[in-house]
Amino acid sequence: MRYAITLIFLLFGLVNSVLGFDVEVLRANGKPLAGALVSLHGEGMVLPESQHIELNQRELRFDPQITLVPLGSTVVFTNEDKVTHHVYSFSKPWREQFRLKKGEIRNAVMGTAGEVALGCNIHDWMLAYIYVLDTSLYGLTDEDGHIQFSAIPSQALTLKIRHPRIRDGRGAVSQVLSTELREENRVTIKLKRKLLPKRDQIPTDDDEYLY
Amino acid sequence: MLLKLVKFLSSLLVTVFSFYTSFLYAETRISGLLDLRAVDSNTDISWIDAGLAPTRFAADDDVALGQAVIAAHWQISNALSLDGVTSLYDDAGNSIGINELYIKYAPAPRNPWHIQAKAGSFFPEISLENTGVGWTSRVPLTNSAINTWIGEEVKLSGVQVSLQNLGKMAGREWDFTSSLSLFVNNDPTGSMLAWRGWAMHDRQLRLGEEIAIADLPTIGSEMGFENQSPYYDPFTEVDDRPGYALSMSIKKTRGPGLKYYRYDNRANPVSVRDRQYGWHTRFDHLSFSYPLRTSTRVIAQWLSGSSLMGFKTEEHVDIHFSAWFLSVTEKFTHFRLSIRYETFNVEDRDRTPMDDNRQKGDAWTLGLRYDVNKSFSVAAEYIALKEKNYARKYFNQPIDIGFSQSQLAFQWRF
Repeated sequence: MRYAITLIFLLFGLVNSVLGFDVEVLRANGKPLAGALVSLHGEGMVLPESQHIELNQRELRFDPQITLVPLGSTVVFTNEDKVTHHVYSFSKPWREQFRLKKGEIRNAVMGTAGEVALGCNIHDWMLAYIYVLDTSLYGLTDEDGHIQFSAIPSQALTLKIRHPRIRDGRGAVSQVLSTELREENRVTIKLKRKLLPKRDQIPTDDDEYLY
Repeated sequence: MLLKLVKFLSSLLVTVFSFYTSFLYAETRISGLLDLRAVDSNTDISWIDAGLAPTRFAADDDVALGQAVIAAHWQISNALSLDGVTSLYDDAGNSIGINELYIKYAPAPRNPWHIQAKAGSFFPEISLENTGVGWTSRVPLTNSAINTWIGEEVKLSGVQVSLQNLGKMAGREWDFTSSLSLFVNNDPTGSMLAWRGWAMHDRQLRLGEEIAIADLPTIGSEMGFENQSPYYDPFTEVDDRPGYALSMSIKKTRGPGLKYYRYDNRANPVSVRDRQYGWHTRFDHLSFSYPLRTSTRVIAQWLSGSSLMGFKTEEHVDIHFSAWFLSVTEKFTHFRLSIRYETFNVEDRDRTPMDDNRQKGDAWTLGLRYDVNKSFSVAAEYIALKEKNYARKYFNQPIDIGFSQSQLAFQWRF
């Protein structure tokens, strides 16, 4: 939730920044897509400082389900359940697997940008996503599918939209920010394909697990 | 019952301790279910006491030990684990037994193709109802006819390899899974369907457990199946020919799932060993699950197969069997309510005299479970069953009968 309302931006030493740039993300049916990750990418952008970011296993779910992580940051996996979890990912940016017993903590440094899909080899329904970002200009769309960047640098930029349910471009849509778009100060991205089914983590059978 | 329980628990402690010390550094998890029942049934002699009634309890039962199951899981390494399920029943046969025992290899997926393997004795992955500890049902108490039969006669002792495509981990909506099993020790399977018919209960037969067959005119008789023991053991190898099973399934993320399962024990129908015949049993099975809402789940299973025993030219058994059920379960905060309808049928295709295997019936099951907390539950169930079982004529009983059975269970899960 804190990511939904947090919009990180940095004022660069560069001068000509444009004031206020609005991005709207719509689903194929025209309805807004909330919680989509919108990021702006360009050459030599200054990255935010690396942080320690928590990702818990709680009540047989990953919590939060979507984590935004600046490149080089550490994700702290904490198992708050009474059962063991076997966290794995075979996504390109982070191929890893480890078991976490109850109460155990494990740190993992995210050194490559991109989407990391996480699963649990024991609890099939557990599913989470880490987005490792090599930019400081990013945020999640609100309920109306909007996000506003207060200032963007004048350099060449590419806009990227990502969400676990997006089918277009295998989960990522990119658009180069043209001069026209910059002048309009706004862009609407409408997805072409229907979204994938909801990714909620609902245990198929929960009463064997005393959490 | 109490004595048996104490014996069971003490032997179990020894087993657990010895396993635990041998896997001292491995991770261990013990879980179980203790289920005490109050029963009201109007059926006559239960199949477990060599009767023909399809229920586990009969008119003279009032309280019973429903389930006493302990499941142990030892995680040997990241990918390798050992699972064992032991149980105690206070009815016929030996009191303590092994329900399942297998080694599982389940490495974390390294790509969307996820491979897993199992070796040992385990249930075929068919039942959508028996998802509780030790293959018990969550709600209702009694399994459908199909899963009752799986719990009685169908167990794979061998290896199973499965390959799953994890679509949901790769941004797709469907997961695909297929598996292949090779197994032994399941050659007499089919006997119960022929000589008793489909049944409805929650009593599993354990490895090496023998059950008395009803005193039918052909059993052990010169005019029928002379070599058949009056005690039946489904988990034996009669002809040294392994059987196979395969499955294919698709499941949408948070959506419907469909699974096809094929079983063929490839038994030689003219083989006999240790007074158990080989029954060439094969079947096709389809299961369907659909989460209507987060709290509502619809499941259905359908099974159709045949079994052949003996020389076709002489006294032999040739049956075709089929069954299906449809069940809806609604989950409330502390309650689970379930309603199920099913039909079942055994067709007799041979002309062996005094061995009428025909059966036809249907049943309604209503189940309710109240979870007091994470560990304690109270469950109630009502079953109304109607059937025609033609073998009853050999006992001068009416073929056409209706049964009802009510149960109240006090369950402790740990």
